Amino acid sequence: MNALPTVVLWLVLGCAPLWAQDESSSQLPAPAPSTALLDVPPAGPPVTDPAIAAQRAGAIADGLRCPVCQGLSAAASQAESAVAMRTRAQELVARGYSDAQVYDYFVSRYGEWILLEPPRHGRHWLVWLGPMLLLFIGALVVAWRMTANTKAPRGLCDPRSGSDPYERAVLDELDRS
Amino acid sequence: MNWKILVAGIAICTPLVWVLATGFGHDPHAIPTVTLGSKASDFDLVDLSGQRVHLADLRGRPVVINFWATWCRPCVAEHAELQAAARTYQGRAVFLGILYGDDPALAREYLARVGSVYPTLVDPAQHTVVDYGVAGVPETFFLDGQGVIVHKVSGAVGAAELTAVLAELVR
Repeated sequence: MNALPTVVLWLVLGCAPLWAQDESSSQLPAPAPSTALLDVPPAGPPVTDPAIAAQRAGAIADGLRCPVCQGLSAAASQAESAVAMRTRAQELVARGYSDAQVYDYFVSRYGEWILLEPPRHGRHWLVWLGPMLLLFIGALVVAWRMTANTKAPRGLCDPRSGSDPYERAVLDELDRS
Repeated sequence: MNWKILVAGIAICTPLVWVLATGFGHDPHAIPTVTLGSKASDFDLVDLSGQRVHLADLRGRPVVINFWATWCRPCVAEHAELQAAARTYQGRAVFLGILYGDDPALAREYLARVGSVYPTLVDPAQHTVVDYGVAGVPETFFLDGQGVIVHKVSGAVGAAELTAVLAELVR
């Protein structure tokens, strides 16, 4: 019975990377190694509607860090470099580059540092899974301590298990009388 | 001695010490330069006097590209050093300024006052800023004759660093 929570926790934590993988497909893609984006053709046809290009560029800028005010996204910042990034993103989207290609472009210029959300590959997995791993270890420790405690009281409450020979002798005498 | 506690303590503390030891070694706000060693993005821009400058046309000579603005104090501070280096290496290296988030009229007025021996280019859309991964000004990029970025300085560039890098590039 005591093992049930541990088994449930195991299953939940075991499935966590799969959920994370599913989320990643709708958010930031894992960036490819540095490439000169402008040397590769756009993945799709040009986006002729400026409103759609601006909307997509805004969503992309939401996932990019402002190089000046580093706690803000490029979408939220009014710094010169953030404005330049938004303009560049919109221009690339209008030319037909996919979101993944635009992210790759920014990563090739600024490094993975520019992504507000750590990418899901390589050593970055540590950031995603580290807290869950620590939680799991903590749960194991708690489960182990609880198991140990449920066994311990039986012995402690039995006076005959004590090491005092006088106390044992008195109890034996009482039993006999 | 309780060996279990000792081993658990070491297992917990070792990663923490490693994270702290590596983390304290660098400025967390420093922006990594990932373009070093890669081909510089080409550009075709117009300078403050209306002359067209195409980076690809400059192949064969080292190029120094300085992103700057009139409102930026370190840019103003490094101006004399850059001008002096440009005069020293005239004919052996090309110097270019690129205006960053500034009004060309203000830049023209400033340069008329302090003088400049090399052109300052205007990039209205600021695409060059992002192509070079510029976070703020001043930033100075050093390109070799093949157009590869071999050195970058964030902040005001000093005379000693300019001389050292350029001496290596023109050799």
